[in-house]
Amino acid sequence: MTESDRGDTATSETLLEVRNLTKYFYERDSITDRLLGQNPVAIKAVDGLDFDIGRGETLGLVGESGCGKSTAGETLLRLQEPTEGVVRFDGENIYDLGSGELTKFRRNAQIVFQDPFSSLDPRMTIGETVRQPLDVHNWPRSDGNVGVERSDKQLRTARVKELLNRVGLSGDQFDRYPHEFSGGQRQRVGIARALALDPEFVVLDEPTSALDVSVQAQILNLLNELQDEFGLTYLLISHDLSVIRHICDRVAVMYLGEIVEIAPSEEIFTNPRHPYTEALLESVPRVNIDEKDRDIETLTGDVPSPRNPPSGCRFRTRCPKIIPPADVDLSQEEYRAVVTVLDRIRGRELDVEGAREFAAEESDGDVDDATVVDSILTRMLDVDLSAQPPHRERVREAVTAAVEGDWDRAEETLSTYRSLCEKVTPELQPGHTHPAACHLLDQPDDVERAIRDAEATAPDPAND
Amino acid sequence: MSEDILRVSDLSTRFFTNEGQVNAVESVDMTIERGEVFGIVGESGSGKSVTALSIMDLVESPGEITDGSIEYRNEDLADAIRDDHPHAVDGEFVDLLSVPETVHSGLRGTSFSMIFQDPESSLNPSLTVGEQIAEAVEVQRRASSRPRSGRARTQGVQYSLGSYIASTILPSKKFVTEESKTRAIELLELVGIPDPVKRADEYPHQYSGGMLQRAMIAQALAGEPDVLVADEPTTALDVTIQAQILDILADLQERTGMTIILITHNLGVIARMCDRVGVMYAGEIVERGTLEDVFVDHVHPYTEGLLGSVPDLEDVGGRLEPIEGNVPSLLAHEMGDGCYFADRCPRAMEECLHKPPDIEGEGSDEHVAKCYLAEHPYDESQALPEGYFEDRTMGEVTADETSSDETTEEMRGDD
Ligand code: SF4
Ligand code: SF4
Repeated sequence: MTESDRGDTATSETLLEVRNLTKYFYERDSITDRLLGQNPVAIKAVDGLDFDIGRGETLGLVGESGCGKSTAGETLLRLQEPTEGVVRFDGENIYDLGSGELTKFRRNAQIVFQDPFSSLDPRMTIGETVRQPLDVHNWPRSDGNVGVERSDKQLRTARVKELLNRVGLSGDQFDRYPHEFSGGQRQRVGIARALALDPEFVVLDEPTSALDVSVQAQILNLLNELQDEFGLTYLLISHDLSVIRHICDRVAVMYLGEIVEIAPSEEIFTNPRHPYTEALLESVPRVNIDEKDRDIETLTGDVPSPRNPPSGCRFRTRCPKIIPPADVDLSQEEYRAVVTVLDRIRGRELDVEGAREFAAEESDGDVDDATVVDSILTRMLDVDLSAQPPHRERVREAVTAAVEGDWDRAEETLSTYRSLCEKVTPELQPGHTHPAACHLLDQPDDVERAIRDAEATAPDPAND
Repeated sequence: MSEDILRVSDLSTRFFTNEGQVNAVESVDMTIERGEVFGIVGESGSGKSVTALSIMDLVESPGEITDGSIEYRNEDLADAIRDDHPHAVDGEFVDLLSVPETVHSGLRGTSFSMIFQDPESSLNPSLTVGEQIAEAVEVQRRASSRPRSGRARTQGVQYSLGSYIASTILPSKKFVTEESKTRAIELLELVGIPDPVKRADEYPHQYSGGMLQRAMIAQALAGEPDVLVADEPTTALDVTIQAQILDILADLQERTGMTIILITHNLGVIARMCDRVGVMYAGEIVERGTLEDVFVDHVHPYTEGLLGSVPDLEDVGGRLEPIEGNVPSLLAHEMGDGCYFADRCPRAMEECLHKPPDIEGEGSDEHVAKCYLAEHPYDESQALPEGYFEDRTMGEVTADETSSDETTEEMRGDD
């Protein structure tokens, strides 16, 4: 992909360019582990993000817990070092900055954290808290200004009072301690502190998640005003789609460390393209008296672990639109049921012993394999496959193999059901104003090629 | 309309703290029908969680239920108690606040169950999930194995309390029979846990957040309760998992006919689940009625403010209309005699300095609001002068909020 076609419509000048931003954490990485010959396990918290943020723009990063959005925010401020990738702020790669330039970057790029309770030092007055960045950066001398009539300390105090007033507190509250403040007020302190050095860019990491809705509304309004007044650029990280929609110009949706869709806010919310975005939007309960009658298709299962993300499309284990092979004539529901069995067999997770125990308990005695297979099938398949005799037989065959302990054969038996979505990784379309990484949409050439290759090598189920 | 299962009248719960008396729940009235999902919505410090704890008899010192009645319809219990405590019984109803403490708390698990925002609060980390659910099944078995008549039932209830305590304090597998373990597995399956047999043998830390929430629901269902009190059951969960859990609750409610009292700050969750709803502010239910009464025909400015604060998923832009100011302290000596919302209310009038009673509003005949606007429209000539309340609180603002914050934190514990 070339750098100009990342699917952003921001016509304004770019302030921040993020390319292939990757952050892995490693488990089992101690010396003992290495001595024992254990390979470290990578947790792929953030896996290859590309996006731009225009000057004065608000980009939203939305996703569920564990999707990597907060790690992304911290890494692009260099509060954590990346595993790979480049972040250019005003054209300069922040990971290459020398210490002087890094200090300058830190002044210019600030963060507001979710929890106003733990992010403030309880032993510092709020005045000191807001002043701290001014002290650290030796303001105003660092701006080339020296007070003529007033000392640095007086200038700083005046600046802090101005900031406190601006965020809706009072300069008189300078000497108060955080515990004397409500949650909303503490978040205002956090915002005043972030703005102390007049930054250009602020990462807002779940800034209102710990607050009550009426207070949240106050803070959101404040953030909007401050942005207009100081020409701020925001990256808003949130799990709350309503907040995202209210504040953001553009939105990137993350799932398991990757961006699956990115587009102007309006587009994402009125015309989502990725099945995950659709499901996410659908899941939010509306404040509306007809809400009870709104049918929603809830996603099955949990988010898989980032230690071992699913191959291909990472959303495929929960996707309500996963693509069956062309010759598998099952409904989505039936196909999902079969694929779930396949996934469980592949992970060697089918609980054969449990099923045996349970069946024994129910029938008060020893049970043969066939009974165990039945028990697994009735319990696992929440969809009745009896209208699909050949498929039902195939699944039974696979489960029987698993019950007999021959997992490889079990897996092989169902291999013809493998979806394209697991074989080839979908990508965001370069140059598109609204890219989404899903095989249901047009895919870039290299992906299309990979799809053709995968299909060419796939065994033909008809001859099977 | 179906029959009432719970009638809460004039319920007041106070906390006696160093700073003074905190009126966490103030004369709450509500009637809950069998088989409905009744919602209580409010922000932190509104008293919604303390209301739930009061119903469950889980209020802990320095808190105390100081007034009111909680009448529970249960014919067997009424029969069992009538002789000893005639004043507590009214037909099929038993006032849980007039019977001995052990009877009220003994109903926990069997008649009333509770699930919390944080599953760790009800699951023991050192026991497997299956054992804990099996224990809950055992408690129920023992309670109901007693003859369902006369005093024996009361004793059964007391006994079940004893075993409840024993089983939580002295974790011991000897309580768990094969039968109850099988039932535990069935319950895990019922709440949608895959591989329930294997999962039953795992410890809580091996579960994901959504799975733990399911396990806690399974545990709460083990006693086949009449009433399930769910306090912010999905607040800690991601939206896709929240949708699953709400589905499960709705489905279980339909299948078992149990009654659910759902406590949440999330108006969307209320809209999705509830038939009727009460809005709490500063310890009071300030407005209640059907979903439509509250969402569409609301009269109380706090209800309006709450609805106006929520960013709309289906409509962008525009300023939110937050409620200015902060929640009052709830300290008895600071609460004053007027409407508790008056200092934040954009339409406060002279008469609001006297506490408004429940006044019927438009919409269904259950719709009431503690607000004079239900009686007559806003009368500008009666408006309180600008800054009326500021004069009284200015300079003390932060001090007031301080105490409010601390005391509310102290008392809510899990709000
Ligand atoms: S690639 Fe397949 S599994 Fe992934 S979102 Fe698209 S349809 Fe669903
Ligand atoms: S009673 Fe008066 S102050 Fe209270 S909410 Fe109604 S109008 Fe506002």
